[in-house]
Amino acid sequence: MTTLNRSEILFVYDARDCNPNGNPIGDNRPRRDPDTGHGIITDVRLKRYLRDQLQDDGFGIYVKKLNGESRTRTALVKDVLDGVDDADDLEEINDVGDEFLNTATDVRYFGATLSFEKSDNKADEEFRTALNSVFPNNYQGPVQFLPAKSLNVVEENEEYDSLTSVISTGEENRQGGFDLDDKRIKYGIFPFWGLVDNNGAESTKLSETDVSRLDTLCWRALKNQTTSRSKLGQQPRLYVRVEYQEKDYHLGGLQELIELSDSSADSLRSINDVVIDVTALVDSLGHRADRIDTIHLVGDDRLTLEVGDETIRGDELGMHLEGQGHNVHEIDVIEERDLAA
Amino acid sequence: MRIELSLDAIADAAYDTSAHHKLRGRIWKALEDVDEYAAAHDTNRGVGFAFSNIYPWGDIETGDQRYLRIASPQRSVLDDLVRHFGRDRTFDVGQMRFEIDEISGHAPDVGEPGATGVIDTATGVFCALDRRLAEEHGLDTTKIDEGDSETKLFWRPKHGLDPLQETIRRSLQRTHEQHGDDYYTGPAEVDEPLFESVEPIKDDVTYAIHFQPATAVDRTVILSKWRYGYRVRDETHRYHLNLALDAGIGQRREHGFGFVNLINQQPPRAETS
Repeated sequence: MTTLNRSEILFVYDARDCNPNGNPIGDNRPRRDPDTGHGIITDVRLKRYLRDQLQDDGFGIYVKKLNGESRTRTALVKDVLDGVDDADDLEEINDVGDEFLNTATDVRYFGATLSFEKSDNKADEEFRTALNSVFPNNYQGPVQFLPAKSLNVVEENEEYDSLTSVISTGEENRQGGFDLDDKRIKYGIFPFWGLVDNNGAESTKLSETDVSRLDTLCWRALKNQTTSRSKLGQQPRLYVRVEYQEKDYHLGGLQELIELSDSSADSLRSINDVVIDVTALVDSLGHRADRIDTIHLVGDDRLTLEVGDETIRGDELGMHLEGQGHNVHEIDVIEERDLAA
Repeated sequence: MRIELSLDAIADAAYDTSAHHKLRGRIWKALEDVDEYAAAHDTNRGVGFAFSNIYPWGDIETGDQRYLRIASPQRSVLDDLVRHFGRDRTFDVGQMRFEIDEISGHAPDVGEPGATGVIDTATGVFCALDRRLAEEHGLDTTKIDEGDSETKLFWRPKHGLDPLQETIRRSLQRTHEQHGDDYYTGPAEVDEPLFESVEPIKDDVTYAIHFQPATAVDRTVILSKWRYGYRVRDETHRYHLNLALDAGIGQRREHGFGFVNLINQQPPRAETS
């Protein structure tokens, strides 16, 4: 297997008049840092979008609902290992781990816990023992994201009135059900930071193709998966994957190198009010140019960026970085997408 | 996006197939307290919504469950409807009397470029050709000259599909200009068609119903129902098709015509040789 280069990801998306990540412990209100008022979207939420998009694209997924219901890990592994129902079936597979990782695309990215539930049923218990003997307790995912904190202080929609008695959130499998209550934020723009760890890639058999797929997957997942479950109103704005030359080097904290510019509106309500200052990001990439192999990126032309004294559109950042001598790959998310047959 | 009201029948009633005006009246009751909508009530601009029939069709018995869908490109319109229906659950449409049991929200999406699917008109498409459009398509304008049909001509199969498709494009363009996202080019500003295929749903293509656009005004209108196939070309086309899902197609959409449903959608797949 080819050794992958390490990559670092900055993925910025915004959320307008919606609940980008409800907190079930807090009455499903949008997550916020109580001290700063900044909105929060967890990495779990983002990975769910990515898994759902992989599934829509025809790839096998381990962590998912079956027929709209959460299922045990044993049921999920049976679903991935098509045709495997008991310990005898497992024995017929040459390399169960390989077979599992080849099919469970999400596990190659994000890893998985593989400890299986005890059962009173003798055959199930034999199957569990067999599974535990062929699988490690868990696969450590080589692709990890941190939770994102919004660049702006988010304002909650205060018009909340108790409609829950009359509202149903719609069935999971209906076309794009969304919540109707008013637990939403008015606007937030969220930078996610992610790492593709070359060292962890081997254990889950993450391939070069898998890594390249992220370049279109993140963007498309936000476009395609946010029409459901109250997530309407979110758009991808900027995706940057910095692929390094050196084996174990990465800059770190790309999300901390961007901030809202003073040119932004006082209260943000849409992308038209946003100006992001990327000067520190561009400078840092410039200083480490000798350690960078390629910058893969896609930007939205509705996003306004500031680089020093210059104001550019999101889709012009690639050209700007190219002008600085970087090797830039401008991603075409539709032309380059990877779909299963 | 759209909301679906789940309705519990509280009285026996015959199904009223020409309840468009009364149904519109009940929806307007939910919007009339908002100045912005009240100002738009009697204008051509409208608020930007479309609604289905109460379905399924058929005579109603107490305890039956029926449904109604209301779509709009503007979430604020749906928010205001939800707030009203949450407070006032009485839903009477003439003799058809219901209570709102549940409201759910949905945002059907035709999919990204490469996706294919089918969109059906659930209520008839209203298409009355004015003189200019009729002349553009070389149609006989005698009836318009005689003052029939309010100087307009209802579309019929003999007129060919072009004037109907042009009417749909123009009305969707108007919706785009009034309620859409100005980031995108409008549906009448691109050369490519909205749909890839079109099939009539009714054997006779068109059908007539009684329509009462105002109290004490009773008219017969000619409608048609269609099944459209699509293949999404690009993000702009995706926006046009989703706008049609949110706003309906054809004319008089806020009077209960041209409401559409996404029947199925297939995401794109890799080309296999």
